[in-house]
Amino acid sequence: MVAKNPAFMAGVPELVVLGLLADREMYGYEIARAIKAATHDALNLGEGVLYPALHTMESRGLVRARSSRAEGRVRIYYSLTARGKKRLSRLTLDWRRMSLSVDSILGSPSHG
Amino acid sequence: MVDQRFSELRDELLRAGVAPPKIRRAVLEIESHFQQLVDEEVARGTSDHYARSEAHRLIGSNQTLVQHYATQPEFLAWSRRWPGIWFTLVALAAYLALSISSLALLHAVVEHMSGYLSHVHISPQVTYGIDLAARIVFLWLLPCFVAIAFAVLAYRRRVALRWPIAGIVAVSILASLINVTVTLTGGPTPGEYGAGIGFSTQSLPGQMTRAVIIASLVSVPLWLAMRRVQRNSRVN
Repeated sequence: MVAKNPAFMAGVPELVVLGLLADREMYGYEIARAIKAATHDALNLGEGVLYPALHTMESRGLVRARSSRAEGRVRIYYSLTARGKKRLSRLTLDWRRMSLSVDSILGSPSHG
Repeated sequence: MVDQRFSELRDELLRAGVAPPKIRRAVLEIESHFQQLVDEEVARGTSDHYARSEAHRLIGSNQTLVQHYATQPEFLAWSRRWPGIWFTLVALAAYLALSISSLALLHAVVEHMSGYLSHVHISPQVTYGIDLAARIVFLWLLPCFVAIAFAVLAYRRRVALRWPIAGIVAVSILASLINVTVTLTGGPTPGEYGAGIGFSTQSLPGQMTRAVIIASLVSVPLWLAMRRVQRNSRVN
């Protein structure tokens, strides 16, 4: 399973979270749901682990947080910073390049 | 309903050295996430018990969460990143700063009252009482206050006992080497006060006794409290 393979997963949670936050600000639960829905459970990050990842991104200036009260609960909403947008562009480029390279090997006739 | 696992998570993060503001934030968000998972499951018609166990499974174990926080240096409290510096050098600096500012305060008060003091005569008993009170404050209460403050910090952050004990011993030794004299007599020369640091072979036994008493007064309760915490965590 992809989600349990650390080599494949390196950098993926960061890319996925930054990609989701590029559209709109979200709180942790929303991010977890969005990942689940978009990947049909293929990307099993572990929902609790999302928070240390978000907090690391926040301390590195990639996302900013604001708290808001909704339905009697305090929610922390995350949005991308300018640095986060740059990081997302770089990670996306890296990912596409790597994905193309792997596809070119897997898609060749000898592997077909 | 408050779930036991979140108070345990708070305690485990504290013991792992994560900074308290980060812990508050992490527990707030993870607990809120957990509650939403439970509500979602219950809304689907499952039992509360099943909803909770499913939410626990999705969140992952406390151990995994603690590991993620504890391995990031930016999440750790200063006292955990540099305990040796924090509990010895900072504790010593705090004691010195507090002593110097207290002496400066005493100086300001005497200066402010100099007009009044030059017109009164203070009896030898009162002069002796003031000197004794100043010694108690500077040589006993201030070091105890600083040592207790750092001991409480160490207890709350679950720092290894050796660091606060080293700090308490250092503050106690420094306090035992300090000498303070406050002689307020009134009249044209209302008095004098001063502080010094040093030791002599003659005064050393007395000074060391003072250091041992201060260190014991603070370290024994700290040791007992830490031991109780360790015993409780072993039972849980």
